[in-house]
Amino acid sequence: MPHDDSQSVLRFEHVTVCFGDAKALDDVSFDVARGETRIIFGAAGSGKTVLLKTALGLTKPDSGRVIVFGQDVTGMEEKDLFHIRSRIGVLFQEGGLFDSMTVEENVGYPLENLLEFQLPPDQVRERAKEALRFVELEETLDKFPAELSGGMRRRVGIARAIVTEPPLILYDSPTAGLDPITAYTIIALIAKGRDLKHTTTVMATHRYQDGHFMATCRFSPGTGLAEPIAAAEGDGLGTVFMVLNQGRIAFEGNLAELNASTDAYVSKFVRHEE
Amino acid sequence: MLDVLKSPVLAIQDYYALTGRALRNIIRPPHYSSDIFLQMDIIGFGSLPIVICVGFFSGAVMAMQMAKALAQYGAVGQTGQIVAITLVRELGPVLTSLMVAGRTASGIASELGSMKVTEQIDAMRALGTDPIQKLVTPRLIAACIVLPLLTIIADFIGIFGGFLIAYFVLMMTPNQYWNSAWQALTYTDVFFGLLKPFVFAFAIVLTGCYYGLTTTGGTQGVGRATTQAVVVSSVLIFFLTFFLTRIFVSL
Repeated sequence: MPHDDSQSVLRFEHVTVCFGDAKALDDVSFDVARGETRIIFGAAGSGKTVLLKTALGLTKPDSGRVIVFGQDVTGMEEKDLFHIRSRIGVLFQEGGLFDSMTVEENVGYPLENLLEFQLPPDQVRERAKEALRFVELEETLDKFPAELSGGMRRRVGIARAIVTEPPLILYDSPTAGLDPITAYTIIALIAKGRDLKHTTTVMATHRYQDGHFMATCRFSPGTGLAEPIAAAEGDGLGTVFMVLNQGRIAFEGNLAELNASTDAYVSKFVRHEE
Repeated sequence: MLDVLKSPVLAIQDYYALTGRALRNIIRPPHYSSDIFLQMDIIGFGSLPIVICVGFFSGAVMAMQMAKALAQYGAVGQTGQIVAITLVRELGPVLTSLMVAGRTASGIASELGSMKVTEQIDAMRALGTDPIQKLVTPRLIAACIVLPLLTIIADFIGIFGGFLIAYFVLMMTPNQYWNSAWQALTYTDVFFGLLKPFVFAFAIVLTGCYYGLTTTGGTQGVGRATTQAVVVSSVLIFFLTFFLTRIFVSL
């Protein structure tokens, strides 16, 4: 049954996903509103990646419902899911770039293959260059992913996620395994994408700094940099935090509530001032 | 007991589901024709040297062995006939397919397995492409076209290898050898000799793709999938040739 809640972009209703006897997600319910930034914290194996793949329809839930843009995707066929997925950008944990394709082909792939686009080659090239310019990697058009560093591959992944200008973007551990400087560059790019293109952003990470940055910094087109927001503005830029523990939601709230949490597991993700 | 059976039954079910979707995609758009030609080049042209080599030596060895056996009955002149029949009916299709299985099933399983563990298959689905349509169907079509062609080449090279032995070692005349070989073959031999590699192409590609797409466990899993793909596709070739030969001899 279609949902007409225009503010809801992604909704999980009592979703459980099992792999054999193990529950990867256990009765998970939440709602992501249009324009919201949702940060999902969790240790390795807590279910972050499974949650994002379930939102994309790549993994089917054993029970519960997943509603994306008002449509129930729980039992949807793959060909119907392609229409929904054309409105979702995704950055996979390892980038998920195609080894056998150049950077340009990787970034242009959704424009060539998604039914809603299927643009001619000259337009694909132009849009791919534009997306790569956004992540400051325009010079890598003809390179293969294997020729790029880990950070550059993530940036190409971001370019591929935003090239279709989707209203919802999912980031799976975008800074995992990166040095602090590269991780900052990646998070700043994600904030830039959110603030310039006004996308709804769902980001899974295990780093408190990533979530804190998204809640406290905004990209300034004037300076071309991400700058801290004034304290008076401090609603966390519509950022909601969620902590997953063994497939269950252990916490859901804003930055202030996260920082104030006394839960032993939740507070492990919070950097307390000495 | 039921738990023990569950895993193989599920595997067979998934294998048939993959086969069904790969076949259905042959008629359903989009068609990735450039991928079909690319795979024909990789599977067909890439396998040519090894197929020629194996074809030649199997024909030559067959001629030497058969000549020795036929000499006991004073029928060395029938060497061409034996070599042609054995190669066209059985050895050509089976040996060619085994060589292609070793090269192609392992290549497909490792390529698709690597794509699976590095989330490229998920990325493909997320970016609007059916991985079976893009990765499995073009390989299946390509193998079904090139494997019978490779078999024809292997058969001919094998008979030629037999001829060299017949001419230089057994001192037969070219006319004697080629006439004997040509007269021995019937249209049914040729038909079944080409039907077999066509059927084997399904076993090789679908087994490689199945193990590749179900790879789990990182790079170690890719290695395991590659080995399983070669072993299972090779066993399937022998299994299928047994049944096809059974049908052939009962006609």
